[in-house]
Amino acid sequence: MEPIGTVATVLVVDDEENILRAVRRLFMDEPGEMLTASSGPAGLDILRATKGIGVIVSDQRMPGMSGAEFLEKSREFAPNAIRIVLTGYADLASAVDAINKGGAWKYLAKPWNDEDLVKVVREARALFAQAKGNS
Amino acid sequence: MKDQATVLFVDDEENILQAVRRALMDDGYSIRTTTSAGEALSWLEKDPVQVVVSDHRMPGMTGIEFLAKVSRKWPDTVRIILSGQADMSAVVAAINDGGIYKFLLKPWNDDELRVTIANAVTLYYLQQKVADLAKDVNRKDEEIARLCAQLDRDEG
Repeated sequence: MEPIGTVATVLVVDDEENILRAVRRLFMDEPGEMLTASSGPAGLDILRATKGIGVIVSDQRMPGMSGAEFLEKSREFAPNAIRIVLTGYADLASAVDAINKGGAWKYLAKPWNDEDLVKVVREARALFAQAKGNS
Repeated sequence: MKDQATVLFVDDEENILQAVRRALMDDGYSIRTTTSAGEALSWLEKDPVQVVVSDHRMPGMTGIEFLAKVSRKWPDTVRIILSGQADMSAVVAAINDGGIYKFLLKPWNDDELRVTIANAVTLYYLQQKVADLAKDVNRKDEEIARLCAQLDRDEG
């Protein structure tokens, strides 16, 4: 268990480096840590090795492992994390997968609105803390 | 714990409600059905339930509007869409506004429906348990803080 009151770490997975850079820049001044990975398997490695990840943001369409598949697998390592899909690829089957397999809490479209993304991640961090009873 | 769970189904087609009742007949839930989302909301006011399953396209209130209301008022209730039509915006709104647990498509597979409902019921009780444990931890933390303060006073 992490010390009470710690802000949850956010893990962002996207195969495009410029997206990860933009997200990191956006969250630079936000409290709490942010980790990034450029593929589902790399994201799982981070989850395996890191405690305290409370929010997972994933792209949907990535080569190899899809976002929904990654989110589904992420439950094994971070069952209580809040899951968010951030995707530029709007397709019915993958949106259904995002909820039914990935257990997505929110489904956000790219390009995103900076304010909205920050707000959603803040809410997700708060929700995670609340679920742990640390609020 | 499963036999105490109530599952509420909302669909404007009576034959769907009958089919759902049949599919879940042997699973030991208390099942309530209605063709009106408005009626479902007034039932929930009196008697909160563990799981709500709703069609999406219905005259009057859509399933997503209904589940969004349920989500705001009874956030612990596990919410599921069971819909014949699915389009991108409906699925996205169901996730973002309805806070749904699953989006199921008609025609459904009975086994899949039964497993999904069973998982939803389990999820409900697990969430309750986590919330109770968290409350218990908070209570104990407060008790410890109180005792520490008392100890400080006694020593000082």
